[in-house]
Amino acid sequence: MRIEKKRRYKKYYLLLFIGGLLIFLFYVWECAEVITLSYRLNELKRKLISLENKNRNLKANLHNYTNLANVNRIAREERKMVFPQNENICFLKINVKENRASSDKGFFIAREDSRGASKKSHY
Amino acid sequence: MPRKSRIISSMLIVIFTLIVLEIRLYYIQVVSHRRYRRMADKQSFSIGQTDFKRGTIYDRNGKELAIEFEVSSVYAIPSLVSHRRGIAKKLAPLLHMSEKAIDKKLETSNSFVWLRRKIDTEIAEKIKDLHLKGIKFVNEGKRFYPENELASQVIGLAGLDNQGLSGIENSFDRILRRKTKKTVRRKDGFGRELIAADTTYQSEVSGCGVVTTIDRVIQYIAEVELRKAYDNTKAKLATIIVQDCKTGEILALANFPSFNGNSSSSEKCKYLKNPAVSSIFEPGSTFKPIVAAALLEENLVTLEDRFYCEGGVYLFNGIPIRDHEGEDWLTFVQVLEKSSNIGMAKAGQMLGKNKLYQYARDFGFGNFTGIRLPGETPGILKKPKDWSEISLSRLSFGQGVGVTAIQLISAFSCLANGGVLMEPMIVKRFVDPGGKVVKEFQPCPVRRVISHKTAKTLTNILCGIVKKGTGKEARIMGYKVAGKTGTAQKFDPATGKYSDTNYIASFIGYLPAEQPKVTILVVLDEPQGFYWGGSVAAPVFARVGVKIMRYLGIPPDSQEMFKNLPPEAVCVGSPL
Repeated sequence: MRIEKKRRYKKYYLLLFIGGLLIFLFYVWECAEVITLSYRLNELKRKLISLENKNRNLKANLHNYTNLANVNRIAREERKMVFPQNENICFLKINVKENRASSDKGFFIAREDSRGASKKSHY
Repeated sequence: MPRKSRIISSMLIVIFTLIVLEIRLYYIQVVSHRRYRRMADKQSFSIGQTDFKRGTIYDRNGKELAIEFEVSSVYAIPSLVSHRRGIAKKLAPLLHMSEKAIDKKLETSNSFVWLRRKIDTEIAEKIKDLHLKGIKFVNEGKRFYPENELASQVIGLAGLDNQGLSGIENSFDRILRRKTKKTVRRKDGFGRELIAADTTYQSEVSGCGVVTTIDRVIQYIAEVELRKAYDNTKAKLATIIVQDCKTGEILALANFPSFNGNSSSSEKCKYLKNPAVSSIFEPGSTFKPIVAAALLEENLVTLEDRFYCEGGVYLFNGIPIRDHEGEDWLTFVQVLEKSSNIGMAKAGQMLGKNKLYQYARDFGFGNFTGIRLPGETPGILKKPKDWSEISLSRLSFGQGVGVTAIQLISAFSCLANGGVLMEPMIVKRFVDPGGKVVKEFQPCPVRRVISHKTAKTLTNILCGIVKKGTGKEARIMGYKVAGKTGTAQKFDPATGKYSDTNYIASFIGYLPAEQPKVTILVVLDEPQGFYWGGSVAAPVFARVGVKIMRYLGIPPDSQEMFKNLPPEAVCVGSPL
């Protein structure tokens, strides 16, 4: 009877030991996993910073192309555009109340093209 | 020795050893744990400075005028550099430095030396690929001005350490400046960052953005025309300011020569000063409307009052006052239209020293305007007790008073604004990195200087000056312009007299005269050849004015423009 009881206790102790060991191993694995993930996270952070920097550099390049001096140069030299003289412009007053949605500035400029058709653009 | 004794003695040795170890552990972990913890932390923690971006500067429509992006800076740890000459040879072409210069830097006994700061990312990548021992990199913010020269003297310049050196960069440095905060990170033996409970983290906070009152399109229009005038007249310095006369907001402010904030040339340091707020000049005839406003406000003259202009030369206290055209009798309006110095000198006498001084002060002369740009000077306006016998007559036509361009335009905007002087504004608001408004600046009226009626009368006189007086070149088809020319002789300190060869030509005016929107000032310092304000500065005003009117969508106020409408033109709403 006593021997039987001792064996049962031994089993419990063994199970308890194995359970404790598993918990300990899980804890160690978890710590290792956290460290691995933190390495990956840092790697991703570095990549993000690098991409952000690239993005900013691209924005700076974009600004170089869209600055007013460059736009003016392209318009004048490449597109051969000229600043309209007074005789090229017709100022038409509009009824602001009726066209409030279209313009709060109150007038349009109508420009004639070479075929005599009228184009209007909001200025 | 019996077996039992051996076992006991062995056990005693083991127990003794364990006790010694326990004592040692107790000493390390309990008694001196602080010291060892410090040592461990020193190895595994790194204290770094986290820099955040300097705030962006915007124009009034939210377009970026100054931004920041990250670039790499190269430094060396000389003690780790083994082949100095070899490294210098490899780095020289990439860093655009001589081998000798790099070698000299690496020769130092210091533990750290900058090789080159803020280099292009591509170059940094090329150097990184070389895997040079002892050559390291650090990311730093670099200021970039997307519009290059545009408004450079208003925006200013940020230095190598991102400190504001001039312009808005300087005056709003505390708002724009990136916040630097120390961060503590745990690192492993290879220097890789570990996420631990004791690592300090923080959310990123950049400096605030500054939204200026500058309109980049108007600024561009003004700068293009100013540059043309500068080249054509070969002037020493050219200045232009465009101001919203109702609110006092500066829409454009430019000087030439100027600088490009993105250029690495040291030449730009010459032009950091903003002459529009820091240079004093004698306004000449552009000061006459100020005196006229005072005379009309005090009811000392009427428009029909006649002044004898002595045929062009008038000896006042033995010193001659000259007109550029010899006239006899002129009405008060004609005195202004023909810009007669003699007529104004005589009219000024009616005002008296104290009144003239008081009005000049009320218009903002001899005082800071309050524009938040660095280096502003109050100008020179002596107190009446310090005036000589001829001061009153001279001041009446703009001699003997030193003004800044910003003072002059503010005074004219006061006339355009019905007699209320507004504080010139250069900044509209501060915004946080998310775009949320932190602080909003409202237009600030300083004082009422003259009545609305006087301002209206003076506007009519100024319109006459442009229509049939000295300012004909400033006429803009379809718009009624009010303005005044100025041609001031420069004082020559060498001779102690006014120069006969060096002049300051200027034109100042506002339009549309009936409902003024903008005031424009053009100043050309020492133009060569033609030097009259009416012939060199007024055309610049007209060219800038017409473009601004079109850009702002302000319709012409003259019926002339609508006479010859083509039948094909599409009329929207009710045609005029």
